[in-house]
Amino acid sequence: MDRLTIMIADDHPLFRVGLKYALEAQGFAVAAEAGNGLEAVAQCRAIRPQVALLDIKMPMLDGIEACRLIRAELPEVIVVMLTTFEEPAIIAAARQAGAVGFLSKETEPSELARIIRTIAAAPSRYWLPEVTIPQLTTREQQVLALLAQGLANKAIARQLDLSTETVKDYLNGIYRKLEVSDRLQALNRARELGLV
Amino acid sequence: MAGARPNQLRSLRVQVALVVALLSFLPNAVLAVIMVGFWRELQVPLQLWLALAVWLLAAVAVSGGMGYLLSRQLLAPLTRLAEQIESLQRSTRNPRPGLPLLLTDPVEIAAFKQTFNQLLAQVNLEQARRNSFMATLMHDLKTPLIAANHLLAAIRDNDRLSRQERVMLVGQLLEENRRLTELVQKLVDAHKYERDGVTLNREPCDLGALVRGLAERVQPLAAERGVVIEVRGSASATVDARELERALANLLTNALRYARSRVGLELYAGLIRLADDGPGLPAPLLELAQPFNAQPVEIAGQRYTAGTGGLGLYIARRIIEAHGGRLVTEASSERGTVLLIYLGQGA
Repeated sequence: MDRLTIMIADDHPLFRVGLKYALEAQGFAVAAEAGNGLEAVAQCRAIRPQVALLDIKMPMLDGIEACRLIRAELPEVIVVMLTTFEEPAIIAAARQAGAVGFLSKETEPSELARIIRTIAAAPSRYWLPEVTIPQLTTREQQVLALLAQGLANKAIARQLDLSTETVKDYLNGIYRKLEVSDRLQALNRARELGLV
Repeated sequence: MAGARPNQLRSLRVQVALVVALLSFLPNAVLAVIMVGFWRELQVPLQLWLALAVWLLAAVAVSGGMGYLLSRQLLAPLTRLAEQIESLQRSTRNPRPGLPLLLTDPVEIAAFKQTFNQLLAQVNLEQARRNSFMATLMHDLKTPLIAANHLLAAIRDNDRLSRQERVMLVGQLLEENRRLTELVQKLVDAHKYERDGVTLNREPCDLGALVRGLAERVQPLAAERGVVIEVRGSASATVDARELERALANLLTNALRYARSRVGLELYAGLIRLADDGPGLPAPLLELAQPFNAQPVEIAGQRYTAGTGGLGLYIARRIIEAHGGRLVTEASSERGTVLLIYLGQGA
């Protein structure tokens, strides 16, 4: 069986070297490296690897945007994000940009190899942490935005021309969707999910 | 539970209401006592006693009402302040906004708000620094440590590595270790300079020799980046050579990191001019030269703090300021950056 060809994009040179050795030891062919998002897109165009491993925070163009460009132009390239970020909003953005995997840089090489092979064998299967961004109604979004400004129920009701009871109903709806029990937890969760 | 109930008497509003009510009722009470004294001797009819009782009750009611209304009026600014603070406490905006200053605020409340907002700004700054510090740990320390693990495993397990390859890998690990040690030292220095300030040991110094020596030491980095360093002029000053060299090293390596082809150092009496042809500063110098001030990056529409900020710049600024000098930008554009290092009167 041919070795899977891989492109590594990370702005840290030593990380690229370390990962290259680790992946080659696991039987992959690291065909190219890139130090930023633009280079990553260019390398993918040039060598058309089977798998592109992208860091998120990179100069010139971040990994999410690079992933979007690569997937749009070269849909056959499987993109896996390899990062220290774990924020749900970023995971959701990566999925939306077309990444099929989202893994921690700390993943052991053997485990990383197993996951890359699984994904390559069935690219329609996602390997991203489960993140469901709750769908809030327009009114709930408005209430949440005012809540984030520190407004009390009465002030939110005044601003949105609603009764305090209705605001409470919306808040309960928000709590239920975000799976929290109070306003502070709601705001923290909303921030994590990129809703405010 | 009785203990959990708020003690109404500790409420300022209740206390002011009681004082106002008592003050307005007191003249009535005094008058009533005097009248009772007279009426006892005069043996007045029962109707008058009843009228006095009704009058006293009415006085109690009116005094209570006045106490209620006046206390509300008098304490309205405090009540509003309490509401504003409560709202601020609920806010999760980062950084937290200050208390709004209103033209109608009494001077005492305005003074309180100003002091409160200053403290809040300090808290916001500390919080931003903490986030930045954590981001430094996450991104600038963790990534190379993970990389080092991969490389060490390769050196241990890969029998096909040639001796030359091994030497190259170990060299890279050592270089990274040196960089990490430098980063940790910068974290320590920035913390120390922030807490204790910079202690100087000034002596007459040949700035030309100091700068040329420094340029020689960073030559490998310049060569690696294909950048030429030019040093012009000569000057001497009474400075702490070790500290000043550290400040200049931070500024020079920064310039080398971003320069396209050249970095120039010009020496004048009391002034060093550092110019590069890089892309210019991403933010005002004063903003960049703060400890643990990682510039947030925007990813997927959200702002995240990531990576070391202007630690080196901050350290340089503190050292220069400790000499009584200033670090300022002469120019910053897409054609390059020119920094002026004024060494101060004492130098």
